[in-house]
Amino acid sequence: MAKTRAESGQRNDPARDVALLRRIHERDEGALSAFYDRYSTFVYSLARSVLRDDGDAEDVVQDVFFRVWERADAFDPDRGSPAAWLTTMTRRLAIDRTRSRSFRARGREAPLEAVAGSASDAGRDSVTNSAEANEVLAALEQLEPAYREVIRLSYYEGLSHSGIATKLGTPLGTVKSRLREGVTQLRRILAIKT
Amino acid sequence: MDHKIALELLESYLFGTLDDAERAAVEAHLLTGCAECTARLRDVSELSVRLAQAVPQVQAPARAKERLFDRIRTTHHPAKRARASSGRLRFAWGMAGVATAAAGVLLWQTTVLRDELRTTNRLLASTIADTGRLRTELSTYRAEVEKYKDAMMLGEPGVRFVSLDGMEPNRDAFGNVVCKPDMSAGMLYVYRFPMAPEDKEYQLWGLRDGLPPVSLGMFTVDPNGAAMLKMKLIPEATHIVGFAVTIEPKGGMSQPTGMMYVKGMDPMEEGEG
Ligand SMILES: [Zn+2]
Repeated sequence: MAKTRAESGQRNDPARDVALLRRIHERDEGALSAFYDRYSTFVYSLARSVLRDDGDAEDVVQDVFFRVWERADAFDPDRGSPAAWLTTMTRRLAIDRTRSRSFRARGREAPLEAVAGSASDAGRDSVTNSAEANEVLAALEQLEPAYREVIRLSYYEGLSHSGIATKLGTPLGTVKSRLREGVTQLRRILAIKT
Repeated sequence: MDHKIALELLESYLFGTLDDAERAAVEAHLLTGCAECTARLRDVSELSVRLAQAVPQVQAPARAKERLFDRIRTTHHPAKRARASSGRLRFAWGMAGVATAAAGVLLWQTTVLRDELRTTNRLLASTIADTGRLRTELSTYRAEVEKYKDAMMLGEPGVRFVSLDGMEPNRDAFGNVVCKPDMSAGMLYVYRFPMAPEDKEYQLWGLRDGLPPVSLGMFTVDPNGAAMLKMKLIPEATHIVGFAVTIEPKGGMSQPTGMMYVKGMDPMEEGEG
């Protein structure tokens, strides 16, 4: 258990990340390099799961870290950790890309890559889940199916509220409340405190 | 935007699934400093990180890092020198805000990260002293943004935000420009400016690529050193890549002649060319 905590702790070390961002803001390339090394796998993997294309994911990595370099001062600690800032930026850039005309023209409206080895394909040898991933997957399993489905469609398939409502044939208001309640429950299960 | 609507959209805002208009509207509401929405945003953002950790982790190709550093080295940065100064101030907020997150880390990493945390805590103790004063400034700033939000149409997609950094010897001065992409409307906010002498005023300039700057208006600062300026309309074809403020004789000049106080380039414009 201690080992797991230490590993994830390396990622969730906001004070250290903020210190790096401050140096990045001061144009310290070494700090950008360190920040990149900490998060490039995370950003690339997240972009790849949304875009299902290695080249596009690599472009998102470029854009995310370029923005970090240009706008480290846009990070607002009131809104969460540096990792959270990166997550939001990555998702936004990746999902915007899926919505662009060129992306559509290339026929990539297919469902996005699902979460790492979910219960159904656990043990697939291409997927080695980290302890962190397993913890999240276990938490998702504990959710009521209706909530789990809405979170899956929103987060892992990048669908909008109305997109989910259409797909499920559920009223928009229901989608919104399920997403909100699902997120609240998931936070409780994962004991996320901020 | 109505608080209730913004609150409903926060998950999707973080998950990146809102359209541009919704996203901009949520941003505008968050700029009002709404405590409930900010707290919810912070909570859900940590969940968003956890969900991201559940996707298969794959290393980015090594060339991606080389490309990134090629890109940052070939991008022109006229404002480079000025950046370091105001960074100190803004990141003082950063360190204070991290107190909450660091407290959470404390709870579950006591053994493994004890040494690192000692350092962190020392750092926090020294910055927390400044927190009260900075928070007050921050809430003043947010109240002002709120006041001018409607005039600015902050909720519109594509609105440009440019930070202005203090120049020597007034490195503590800073500001922001918020303007429509086509420059048909814009606001300047500045802070920590010295009072100008009786016969002088500050003048805002739009910087153009390879062309002389264009005047965007005159202003004076209040006793706290703050000011807001609704920018002069400028012809649509004028391509502004950055902003600067100089001190000039009352009534303004056609071109800058006095000392420069703050300057900032639009990173989006810079990136293009
Ligand atoms: Zn609110």
